[in-house]
Amino acid sequence: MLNPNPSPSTHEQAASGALHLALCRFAPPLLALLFAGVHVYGGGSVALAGGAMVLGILIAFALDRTAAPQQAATRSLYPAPAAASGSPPAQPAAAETVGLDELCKKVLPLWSRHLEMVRAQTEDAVTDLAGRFQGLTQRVGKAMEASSQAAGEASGGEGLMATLERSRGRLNGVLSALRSSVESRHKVLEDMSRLSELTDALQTMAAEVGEIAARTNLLALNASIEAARAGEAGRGFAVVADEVRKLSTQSGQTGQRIRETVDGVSQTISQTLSLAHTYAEADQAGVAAAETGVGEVLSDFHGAGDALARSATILREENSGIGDELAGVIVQLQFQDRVGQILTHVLQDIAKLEDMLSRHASDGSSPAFDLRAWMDALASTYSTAEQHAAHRGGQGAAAKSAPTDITFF
Amino acid sequence: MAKTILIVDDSASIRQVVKIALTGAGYEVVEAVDGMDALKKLDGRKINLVISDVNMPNLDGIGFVKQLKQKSGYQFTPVIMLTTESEAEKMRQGKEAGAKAWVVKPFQPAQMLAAVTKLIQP
Repeated sequence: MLNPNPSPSTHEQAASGALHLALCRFAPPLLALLFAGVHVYGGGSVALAGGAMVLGILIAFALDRTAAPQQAATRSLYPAPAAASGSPPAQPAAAETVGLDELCKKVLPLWSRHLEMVRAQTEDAVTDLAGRFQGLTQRVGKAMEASSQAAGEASGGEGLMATLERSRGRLNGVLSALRSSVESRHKVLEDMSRLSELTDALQTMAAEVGEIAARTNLLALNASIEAARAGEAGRGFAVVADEVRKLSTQSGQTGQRIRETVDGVSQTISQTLSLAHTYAEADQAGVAAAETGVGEVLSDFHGAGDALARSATILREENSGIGDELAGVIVQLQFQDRVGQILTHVLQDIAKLEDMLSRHASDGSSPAFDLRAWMDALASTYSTAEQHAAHRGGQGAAAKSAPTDITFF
Repeated sequence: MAKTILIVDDSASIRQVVKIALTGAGYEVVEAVDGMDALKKLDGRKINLVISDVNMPNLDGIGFVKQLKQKSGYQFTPVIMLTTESEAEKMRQGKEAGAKAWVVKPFQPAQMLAAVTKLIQP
Protein backbone atom coordinates (compact mmCIF):
# COMPACT_ATOMS: atom_id res chain seq x y z
CA MET A 1 0.00 0.00 0.00
CA LEU A 2 2.81 2.42 0.88
CA ASN A 3 5.35 1.66 -1.88
CA PRO A 4 5.98 -1.96 -0.90
CA ASN A 5 9.00 -2.59 -3.20
CA PRO A 6 11.39 0.31 -3.15
CA SER A 7 14.60 -0.11 -5.11
CA PRO A 8 17.79 0.01 -2.98
CA SER A 9 18.90 3.19 -4.71
CA THR A 10 15.69 4.97 -3.85
CA HIS A 11 15.27 3.43 -0.44
CA GLU A 12 15.59 6.64 1.48
CA GLN A 13 13.21 8.53 -0.78
CA ALA A 14 10.69 5.68 -0.62
CA ALA A 15 10.90 5.52 3.15
CA SER A 16 10.47 9.25 3.36
CA GLY A 17 7.48 9.07 1.04
CA ALA A 18 5.85 6.37 3.17
CA LEU A 19 6.49 8.31 6.32
CA HIS A 20 5.24 11.46 4.76
CA LEU A 21 2.06 9.74 3.68
CA ALA A 22 1.67 8.31 7.16
CA LEU A 23 2.12 11.74 8.68
CA CYS A 24 -0.38 13.17 6.26
CA ARG A 25 -2.89 10.53 7.25
CA PHE A 26 -2.29 10.59 10.99
CA ALA A 27 -1.65 14.26 11.53
CA PRO A 28 -5.18 15.49 10.69
CA PRO A 29 -6.96 13.31 13.26
CA LEU A 30 -4.25 13.98 15.85
CA LEU A 31 -4.50 17.71 15.29
CA ALA A 32 -8.28 17.51 15.30
CA LEU A 33 -8.11 15.71 18.63
CA LEU A 34 -5.81 18.30 20.10
CA PHE A 35 -7.92 21.19 18.92
CA ALA A 36 -10.98 19.34 20.15
CA GLY A 37 -9.25 19.30 23.53
CA VAL A 38 -8.70 23.04 23.36
CA HIS A 39 -12.30 23.48 22.25
CA VAL A 40 -13.84 21.53 25.11
CA TYR A 41 -11.64 23.29 27.59
CA GLY A 42 -13.30 26.51 26.56
CA GLY A 43 -10.09 28.35 25.74
CA GLY A 44 -9.31 28.54 29.43
CA SER A 45 -5.83 27.08 29.19
CA VAL A 46 -3.17 29.08 27.46
CA ALA A 47 -0.67 26.32 28.16
CA LEU A 48 -2.79 23.72 26.39
CA ALA A 49 -3.49 25.97 23.44
CA GLY A 50 0.23 26.64 23.32
CA GLY A 51 0.97 22.93 23.36
CA ALA A 52 -1.43 22.31 20.50
CA MET A 53 0.19 25.13 18.60
CA VAL A 54 3.67 23.66 19.14
CA LEU A 55 2.48 20.36 17.72
CA GLY A 56 0.77 22.14 14.84
CA ILE A 57 3.95 24.05 14.04
CA LEU A 58 6.08 20.91 14.15
CA ILE A 59 3.71 18.94 11.93
CA ALA A 60 3.44 21.78 9.49
CA PHE A 61 7.21 22.08 9.50
CA ALA A 62 7.67 18.37 8.85
CA LEU A 63 5.22 18.49 5.97
CA ASP A 64 6.91 21.54 4.47
CA ARG A 65 10.37 20.04 4.79
CA THR A 66 9.57 16.73 3.15
CA ALA A 67 7.02 17.14 0.44
CA ALA A 68 5.80 20.66 0.27
CA PRO A 69 4.93 20.71 -3.45
CA GLN A 70 2.83 17.59 -3.35
CA GLN A 71 0.94 18.43 -0.18
CA ALA A 72 -0.28 21.93 -0.76
CA ALA A 73 -3.85 20.80 -0.13
CA THR A 74 -2.95 19.36 3.28
CA ARG A 75 -1.15 22.56 4.22
CA SER A 76 -4.15 24.58 3.30
CA LEU A 77 -6.19 22.49 5.69
CA TYR A 78 -3.70 22.99 8.52
CA PRO A 79 -1.96 26.26 7.72
CA ALA A 80 1.30 26.80 9.55
CA PRO A 81 1.10 29.76 11.90
CA ALA A 82 3.35 32.72 11.18
CA ALA A 83 5.54 31.67 14.10
CA ALA A 84 6.52 28.54 12.17
CA SER A 85 8.80 30.59 9.97
CA GLY A 86 10.79 31.40 13.07
CA SER A 87 11.41 27.75 13.94
CA PRO A 88 15.10 26.95 14.49
CA PRO A 89 15.81 24.60 11.52
CA ALA A 90 14.57 27.07 8.90
CA GLN A 91 18.03 28.35 7.84
CA PRO A 92 19.01 26.71 4.51
CA ALA A 93 22.67 27.72 4.84
CA ALA A 94 23.11 25.76 8.09
CA ALA A 95 20.71 22.98 7.15
CA GLU A 96 21.71 19.38 7.73
CA THR A 97 19.68 17.36 5.29
CA VAL A 98 18.21 14.22 6.78
CA GLY A 99 15.47 11.80 5.79
CA LEU A 100 11.99 12.00 7.21
CA ASP A 101 12.56 8.93 9.38
CA GLU A 102 15.65 10.54 10.90
CA LEU A 103 13.75 13.76 11.40
CA CYS A 104 10.90 11.92 13.06
CA LYS A 105 13.26 10.11 15.41
CA LYS A 106 14.47 13.49 16.61
CA VAL A 107 11.19 15.35 16.48
CA LEU A 108 8.72 12.82 17.85
CA PRO A 109 10.33 12.56 21.30
CA LEU A 110 10.37 16.36 21.35
CA TRP A 111 6.66 16.50 20.60
CA SER A 112 6.04 13.96 23.31
CA ARG A 113 8.02 15.91 25.88
CA HIS A 114 6.24 19.14 24.98
CA LEU A 115 2.82 17.55 25.10
CA GLU A 116 3.58 15.82 28.39
CA MET A 117 4.86 19.12 29.76
CA VAL A 118 1.64 20.85 28.67
CA ARG A 119 -0.46 18.09 30.22
CA ALA A 120 1.45 18.15 33.51
CA GLN A 121 1.49 21.96 33.75
CA THR A 122 -2.23 22.20 33.07
CA GLU A 123 -2.96 19.44 35.57
CA ASP A 124 -0.90 21.18 38.27
CA ALA A 125 -2.45 24.57 37.49
CA VAL A 126 -6.02 23.26 37.52
CA THR A 127 -5.44 21.33 40.76
CA ASP A 128 -4.03 24.45 42.37
CA LEU A 129 -6.86 26.55 40.92
CA ALA A 130 -9.47 24.21 42.36
CA GLY A 131 -7.82 24.40 45.79
CA ARG A 132 -7.74 28.18 45.64
CA PHE A 133 -11.40 28.36 44.63
CA GLN A 134 -12.25 26.19 47.59
CA GLY A 135 -10.18 28.40 49.88
CA LEU A 136 -11.96 31.50 48.55
CA THR A 137 -15.36 29.95 49.05
CA GLN A 138 -14.52 28.86 52.59
CA ARG A 139 -13.31 32.35 53.49
CA VAL A 140 -16.42 33.98 52.06
CA GLY A 141 -18.55 31.41 53.88
CA LYS A 142 -16.89 32.25 57.21
CA ALA A 143 -17.45 35.99 56.67
CA MET A 144 -21.12 35.33 55.87
CA GLU A 145 -21.54 33.18 58.95
CA ALA A 146 -20.02 35.85 61.21
CA SER A 147 -22.26 38.52 59.70
CA SER A 148 -25.35 36.35 60.03
CA GLN A 149 -24.62 35.70 63.69
CA ALA A 150 -24.16 39.41 64.36
CA ALA A 151 -27.57 40.12 62.86
CA GLY A 152 -29.20 37.38 64.86
CA GLU A 153 -29.81 35.29 61.82
CA ALA A 154 -27.79 32.26 62.86
CA SER A 155 -30.03 29.50 64.08
CA GLY A 156 -29.87 29.30 67.86
CA GLY A 157 -27.36 32.12 67.99
CA GLU A 158 -27.54 35.10 70.40
CA GLY A 159 -27.83 37.82 67.78
CA LEU A 160 -28.28 41.56 67.86
CA MET A 161 -32.06 41.41 67.44
CA ALA A 162 -32.38 39.10 70.46
CA THR A 163 -30.17 41.44 72.52
CA LEU A 164 -32.31 44.40 71.45
CA GLU A 165 -35.51 42.66 72.48
CA ARG A 166 -34.03 41.79 75.85
CA SER A 167 -32.84 45.39 76.32
CA ARG A 168 -36.29 46.68 75.40
CA GLY A 169 -37.80 44.46 78.10
CA ARG A 170 -35.35 45.68 80.74
CA LEU A 171 -35.77 49.35 79.83
CA ASN A 172 -39.54 49.00 79.92
CA GLY A 173 -39.12 47.59 83.44
CA VAL A 174 -37.14 50.70 84.47
CA LEU A 175 -39.81 52.96 82.94
CA SER A 176 -42.54 51.08 84.84
CA ALA A 177 -40.65 51.60 88.10
CA LEU A 178 -40.39 55.34 87.37
CA ARG A 179 -44.11 55.58 86.54
CA SER A 180 -44.92 53.72 89.76
CA SER A 181 -42.79 56.19 91.76
CA VAL A 182 -44.61 59.16 90.19
CA GLU A 183 -47.96 57.58 90.99
CA SER A 184 -46.87 57.12 94.64
CA ARG A 185 -46.03 60.83 94.85
CA HIS A 186 -49.46 61.68 93.46
CA LYS A 187 -50.96 59.65 96.27
CA VAL A 188 -48.93 61.67 98.84
CA LEU A 189 -50.13 64.87 97.15
CA GLU A 190 -53.74 63.77 97.44
CA ASP A 191 -53.21 62.97 101.13
CA MET A 192 -51.65 66.36 101.71
CA SER A 193 -54.54 68.05 99.91
CA ARG A 194 -56.92 66.27 102.26
CA LEU A 195 -54.78 67.46 105.22
CA SER A 196 -55.16 71.00 103.92
CA GLU A 197 -58.96 70.56 103.96
CA LEU A 198 -58.71 69.35 107.60
CA THR A 199 -56.87 72.52 108.64
CA ASP A 200 -59.76 74.53 107.18
CA ALA A 201 -62.10 72.57 109.48
CA LEU A 202 -59.77 73.28 112.42
CA GLN A 203 -59.90 76.99 111.59
CA THR A 204 -63.71 76.87 111.65
CA MET A 205 -63.66 75.01 114.95
CA ALA A 206 -61.21 77.57 116.40
CA ALA A 207 -63.56 80.36 115.25
CA GLU A 208 -66.44 78.58 116.90
CA VAL A 209 -64.43 78.28 120.14
CA GLY A 210 -63.86 82.08 119.99
CA GLU A 211 -67.56 82.66 119.36
CA ILE A 212 -68.52 80.45 122.33
CA ALA A 213 -65.99 82.28 124.53
CA ALA A 214 -67.44 85.68 123.50
CA ARG A 215 -70.98 84.61 124.18
CA THR A 216 -69.93 83.04 127.51
CA ASN A 217 -68.21 86.32 128.41
CA LEU A 218 -71.41 88.21 127.60
CA LEU A 219 -73.40 85.72 129.67
CA ALA A 220 -70.98 86.11 132.62
CA LEU A 221 -71.31 89.90 132.37
CA ASN A 222 -75.10 89.63 132.49
CA ALA A 223 -74.77 87.29 135.47
CA SER A 224 -72.58 89.86 137.29
CA ILE A 225 -75.22 92.56 136.66
CA GLU A 226 -77.94 90.34 137.98
CA ALA A 227 -75.80 89.43 141.02
CA ALA A 228 -75.22 93.10 141.80
CA ARG A 229 -78.95 93.74 141.59
CA ALA A 230 -79.54 90.93 144.10
CA GLY A 231 -77.38 92.75 146.65
CA GLU A 232 -75.82 90.82 149.45
CA ALA A 233 -77.54 87.62 148.43
CA GLY A 234 -75.95 87.79 145.01
CA ARG A 235 -72.40 88.43 146.22
CA GLY A 236 -71.36 84.75 145.95
CA PHE A 237 -72.99 84.48 142.54
CA ALA A 238 -71.07 87.60 141.49
CA VAL A 239 -67.80 85.79 142.34
CA VAL A 240 -68.88 82.80 140.24
CA ALA A 241 -69.95 85.08 137.40
CA ASP A 242 -66.61 86.78 137.52
CA GLU A 243 -64.73 83.46 137.38
CA VAL A 244 -66.85 82.39 134.40
CA ARG A 245 -66.00 85.66 132.67
CA LYS A 246 -62.26 85.02 133.30
CA LEU A 247 -62.60 81.47 131.88
CA SER A 248 -64.41 82.77 128.83
CA THR A 249 -61.63 85.27 128.29
CA GLN A 250 -59.05 82.48 128.55
CA SER A 251 -61.15 80.34 126.16
CA GLY A 252 -61.24 83.19 123.70
CA GLN A 253 -57.46 83.55 123.94
CA THR A 254 -57.00 79.76 123.49
CA GLY A 255 -59.30 79.84 120.42
CA GLN A 256 -57.19 82.69 119.04
CA ARG A 257 -53.95 80.69 119.56
CA ILE A 258 -55.53 77.65 117.93
CA ARG A 259 -56.48 79.80 114.92
CA GLU A 260 -52.95 81.19 114.69
CA THR A 261 -51.37 77.74 115.00
CA VAL A 262 -53.71 76.23 112.41
CA ASP A 263 -52.94 79.19 110.14
CA GLY A 264 -49.24 78.40 110.46
CA VAL A 265 -49.80 74.68 109.80
CA SER A 266 -52.05 75.52 106.87
CA GLN A 267 -49.48 77.84 105.37
CA THR A 268 -46.71 75.24 105.73
CA ILE A 269 -48.90 72.53 104.18
CA SER A 270 -49.79 74.86 101.34
CA GLN A 271 -46.13 75.62 100.63
CA THR A 272 -45.21 71.91 100.85
CA LEU A 273 -48.10 71.05 98.54
CA SER A 274 -46.96 73.64 96.04
CA LEU A 275 -43.41 72.32 96.11
CA ALA A 276 -44.66 68.72 95.83
CA HIS A 277 -46.77 69.70 92.79
CA THR A 278 -43.71 71.24 91.19
CA TYR A 279 -41.66 68.11 91.86
CA ALA A 280 -44.45 65.86 90.61
CA GLU A 281 -44.66 67.77 87.36
CA ALA A 282 -40.87 67.54 86.98
CA ASP A 283 -41.03 63.80 87.68
CA GLN A 284 -43.82 63.38 85.13
CA ALA A 285 -41.81 65.31 82.55
CA GLY A 286 -38.71 63.22 83.44
CA VAL A 287 -40.58 59.97 82.95
CA ALA A 288 -42.01 61.22 79.65
CA ALA A 289 -38.51 62.27 78.52
CA ALA A 290 -37.11 58.89 79.59
CA GLU A 291 -39.86 57.09 77.65
CA THR A 292 -39.16 59.18 74.56
CA GLY A 293 -35.38 58.74 74.91
CA VAL A 294 -35.60 55.00 75.44
CA GLY A 295 -38.01 54.69 72.51
CA GLU A 296 -35.71 56.66 70.23
CA VAL A 297 -32.60 54.72 71.28
CA LEU A 298 -34.36 51.39 70.79
CA SER A 299 -35.71 52.59 67.46
CA ASP A 300 -32.20 53.59 66.37
CA PHE A 301 -30.84 50.22 67.42
CA HIS A 302 -33.71 48.49 65.67
CA GLY A 303 -32.94 50.46 62.55
CA ALA A 304 -29.30 49.39 62.75
CA GLY A 305 -30.36 45.81 63.49
CA ASP A 306 -32.74 45.79 60.54
CA ALA A 307 -29.98 47.12 58.30
CA LEU A 308 -27.69 44.36 59.55
CA ALA A 309 -30.42 41.77 59.01
CA ARG A 310 -30.96 43.06 55.47
CA SER A 311 -27.24 42.93 54.85
CA ALA A 312 -27.16 39.38 56.24
CA THR A 313 -29.97 38.45 53.85
CA ILE A 314 -28.04 39.94 50.95
CA LEU A 315 -24.89 38.13 52.10
CA ARG A 316 -26.81 34.86 52.35
CA GLU A 317 -28.14 35.32 48.84
CA GLU A 318 -24.66 36.18 47.61
CA ASN A 319 -23.27 33.11 49.40
CA SER A 320 -25.80 31.00 47.58
CA GLY A 321 -24.78 32.68 44.32
CA ILE A 322 -21.11 32.00 45.08
CA GLY A 323 -22.03 28.36 45.77
CA ASP A 324 -23.63 28.19 42.32
CA GLU A 325 -20.58 29.81 40.77
CA LEU A 326 -18.31 27.30 42.52
CA ALA A 327 -20.47 24.47 41.20
CA GLY A 328 -19.95 25.92 37.71
CA VAL A 329 -16.21 26.21 38.31
CA ILE A 330 -16.09 22.58 39.50
CA VAL A 331 -17.79 21.49 36.28
CA GLN A 332 -15.45 23.53 34.08
CA LEU A 333 -12.30 22.37 35.91
CA GLN A 334 -13.18 18.77 35.10
CA PHE A 335 -12.52 19.47 31.45
CA GLN A 336 -8.84 19.35 32.36
CA ASP A 337 -9.33 15.61 32.85
CA ARG A 338 -10.95 15.18 29.44
CA VAL A 339 -8.23 17.27 27.80
CA GLY A 340 -5.53 15.38 29.73
CA GLN A 341 -6.89 12.08 28.48
CA ILE A 342 -6.97 13.31 24.88
CA LEU A 343 -3.36 14.48 25.19
CA THR A 344 -2.36 11.15 26.72
CA HIS A 345 -3.89 9.27 23.78
CA VAL A 346 -2.06 11.51 21.30
CA LEU A 347 1.16 10.98 23.26
CA GLN A 348 0.67 7.22 23.18
CA ASP A 349 0.18 7.33 19.41
CA ILE A 350 3.28 9.45 18.89
CA ALA A 351 5.24 7.02 21.08
CA LYS A 352 3.91 4.15 19.00
CA LEU A 353 5.05 5.81 15.76
CA GLU A 354 8.41 6.58 17.32
CA ASP A 355 8.81 2.99 18.44
CA MET A 356 7.97 1.70 14.99
CA LEU A 357 10.46 4.01 13.36
CA SER A 358 13.16 2.90 15.81
CA ARG A 359 12.51 -0.74 15.07
CA HIS A 360 12.67 -0.16 11.34
CA ALA A 361 15.82 1.87 11.70
CA SER A 362 17.48 -0.89 13.70
CA ASP A 363 16.70 -3.66 11.21
CA GLY A 364 17.10 -1.42 8.14
CA SER A 365 13.68 -2.25 6.77
CA SER A 366 11.33 0.23 5.20
CA PRO A 367 8.47 1.28 7.39
CA ALA A 368 5.09 0.32 6.05
CA PHE A 369 1.85 0.82 7.84
CA ASP A 370 -1.48 -0.89 7.96
CA LEU A 371 -3.38 2.36 7.96
CA ARG A 372 -6.77 0.91 8.91
CA ALA A 373 -5.30 -1.11 11.79
CA TRP A 374 -3.46 1.97 13.02
CA MET A 375 -6.55 4.16 12.86
CA ASP A 376 -8.67 1.49 14.57
CA ALA A 377 -6.06 1.09 17.32
CA LEU A 378 -6.03 4.85 17.81
CA ALA A 379 -9.84 4.95 17.95
CA SER A 380 -9.87 2.14 20.52
CA THR A 381 -7.98 4.36 22.98
CA TYR A 382 -10.63 7.09 22.93
CA SER A 383 -12.59 7.63 26.09
CA THR A 384 -14.73 10.63 25.19
CA ALA A 385 -17.51 11.16 22.68
CA GLU A 386 -15.79 14.22 21.22
CA GLN A 387 -12.69 12.13 20.37
CA HIS A 388 -14.83 9.79 18.29
CA ALA A 389 -16.47 12.80 16.64
CA ALA A 390 -13.06 14.33 15.90
CA HIS A 391 -11.82 11.02 14.52
CA ARG A 392 -14.69 10.97 12.06
CA GLY A 393 -13.48 14.30 10.70
CA GLY A 394 -15.29 16.87 12.81
CA GLN A 395 -13.67 19.39 15.10
CA GLY A 396 -15.04 17.51 18.08
CA ALA A 397 -18.44 18.10 19.50
CA ALA A 398 -18.69 20.68 22.23
CA ALA A 399 -18.56 18.63 25.39
CA LYS A 400 -21.64 18.75 27.53
CA SER A 401 -21.54 20.64 30.79
CA ALA A 402 -25.02 19.91 32.16
CA PRO A 403 -26.89 18.05 33.38
CA THR A 404 -24.80 15.21 34.80
CA ASP A 405 -25.26 11.93 33.01
CA ILE A 406 -25.93 9.46 35.85
CA THR A 407 -26.98 5.85 35.37
CA PHE A 408 -27.96 3.79 38.41
CA PHE A 409 -27.59 0.01 38.17
CA MET B 1 -19.63 10.89 62.73
CA ALA B 2 -18.74 11.95 59.22
CA LYS B 3 -19.08 9.34 56.48
CA THR B 4 -15.86 8.48 54.64
CA ILE B 5 -15.66 8.35 50.86
CA LEU B 6 -12.71 6.90 48.92
CA ILE B 7 -11.89 8.78 45.70
CA VAL B 8 -9.84 6.80 43.16
CA ASP B 9 -8.60 8.80 40.16
CA ASP B 10 -5.21 9.27 38.52
CA SER B 11 -6.07 12.91 37.82
CA ALA B 12 -5.15 15.14 40.76
CA SER B 13 -7.51 17.84 39.50
CA ILE B 14 -10.47 15.46 39.45
CA ARG B 15 -9.63 14.21 42.97
CA GLN B 16 -9.46 17.83 44.04
CA VAL B 17 -12.84 18.88 42.59
CA VAL B 18 -14.59 15.74 43.91
CA LYS B 19 -13.03 16.43 47.30
CA ILE B 20 -14.30 20.03 47.21
CA ALA B 21 -17.82 18.87 46.38
CA LEU B 22 -17.84 16.19 49.12
CA THR B 23 -16.05 17.97 51.97
CA GLY B 24 -18.39 20.91 51.42
CA ALA B 25 -21.25 18.54 52.25
CA GLY B 26 -19.50 17.24 55.39
CA TYR B 27 -17.97 14.00 54.10
CA GLU B 28 -14.48 12.80 54.99
CA VAL B 29 -12.41 12.00 51.91
CA VAL B 30 -9.59 9.50 51.31
CA GLU B 31 -7.70 9.80 48.01
CA ALA B 32 -6.02 7.12 45.89
CA VAL B 33 -4.20 7.62 42.56
CA ASP B 34 -5.13 4.26 40.99
CA GLY B 35 -6.70 0.87 41.75
CA MET B 36 -3.58 -0.54 43.40
CA ASP B 37 -3.19 2.52 45.62
CA ALA B 38 -6.89 2.32 46.50
CA LEU B 39 -6.57 -1.29 47.66
CA LYS B 40 -3.66 -0.22 49.90
CA LYS B 41 -5.61 2.76 51.25
CA LEU B 42 -8.52 0.54 52.33
CA ASP B 43 -6.34 -0.88 55.12
CA GLY B 44 -9.39 -2.18 56.97
CA ARG B 45 -10.76 1.32 57.49
CA LYS B 46 -14.48 2.05 57.32
CA ILE B 47 -15.37 3.28 53.85
CA ASN B 48 -18.99 4.26 53.30
CA LEU B 49 -18.75 4.76 49.54
CA VAL B 50 -16.21 4.60 46.71
CA ILE B 51 -16.02 6.95 43.72
CA SER B 52 -13.67 5.50 41.11
CA ASP B 53 -12.37 6.47 37.67
CA VAL B 54 -12.30 3.74 35.00
CA ASN B 55 -9.14 4.38 32.97
CA MET B 56 -6.16 4.38 35.32
CA PRO B 57 -2.61 3.01 35.26
CA ASN B 58 -1.52 -0.06 37.26
CA LEU B 59 -5.05 -1.24 38.07
CA ASP B 60 -8.04 0.24 36.30
CA GLY B 61 -11.40 1.05 37.87
CA ILE B 62 -13.21 -2.09 36.73
CA GLY B 63 -10.40 -4.34 38.01
CA PHE B 64 -10.29 -2.44 41.29
CA VAL B 65 -14.04 -2.78 41.88
CA LYS B 66 -13.84 -6.52 41.18
CA GLN B 67 -11.10 -6.90 43.80
CA LEU B 68 -12.89 -4.60 46.24
CA LYS B 69 -15.95 -6.81 46.09
CA GLN B 70 -13.79 -9.81 47.05
CA LYS B 71 -12.49 -8.12 50.17
CA SER B 72 -14.01 -8.83 53.54
CA GLY B 73 -15.93 -5.83 54.84
CA TYR B 74 -16.25 -4.13 51.46
CA GLN B 75 -18.62 -6.47 49.57
CA PHE B 76 -21.52 -4.13 50.16
CA THR B 77 -19.65 -0.82 49.90
CA PRO B 78 -21.47 1.08 47.13
CA VAL B 79 -19.31 2.20 44.19
CA ILE B 80 -19.90 5.08 41.77
CA MET B 81 -17.86 4.95 38.57
CA LEU B 82 -16.85 8.51 37.56
CA THR B 83 -15.45 8.54 34.05
CA THR B 84 -15.41 10.19 30.63
CA GLU B 85 -16.45 6.84 29.18
CA SER B 86 -20.08 6.56 28.17
CA GLU B 87 -20.05 3.47 25.98
CA ALA B 88 -22.61 0.79 26.79
CA GLU B 89 -19.99 -1.99 26.86
CA LYS B 90 -17.88 -0.22 29.48
CA MET B 91 -20.99 0.49 31.54
CA ARG B 92 -21.97 -3.16 31.33
CA GLN B 93 -18.51 -4.14 32.63
CA GLY B 94 -18.91 -1.68 35.49
CA LYS B 95 -22.28 -3.02 36.43
CA GLU B 96 -20.97 -6.60 36.24
CA ALA B 97 -18.03 -5.71 38.49
CA GLY B 98 -20.49 -4.47 41.12
CA ALA B 99 -20.75 -0.69 40.63
CA LYS B 100 -24.03 0.91 41.67
CA ALA B 101 -23.91 3.99 39.44
CA TRP B 102 -22.12 5.34 36.38
CA VAL B 103 -21.45 9.07 36.24
CA VAL B 104 -20.03 10.64 33.09
CA LYS B 105 -17.62 13.52 33.66
CA PRO B 106 -18.05 16.39 34.00
CA PHE B 107 -20.42 16.07 36.95
CA GLN B 108 -22.54 18.75 38.58
CA PRO B 109 -21.66 18.82 42.32
CA ALA B 110 -25.32 18.90 43.44
CA GLN B 111 -26.22 15.89 41.29
CA MET B 112 -23.14 13.97 42.42
CA LEU B 113 -24.10 14.66 46.05
CA ALA B 114 -27.65 13.49 45.36
CA ALA B 115 -26.27 10.23 43.93
CA VAL B 116 -23.95 9.81 46.95
CA THR B 117 -26.82 10.43 49.38
CA LYS B 118 -28.98 7.96 47.52
CA LEU B 119 -26.37 5.20 47.71
CA ILE B 120 -24.79 5.74 51.10
CA GLN B 121 -26.31 3.93 54.04
CA PRO B 122 -27.99 6.34 56.48
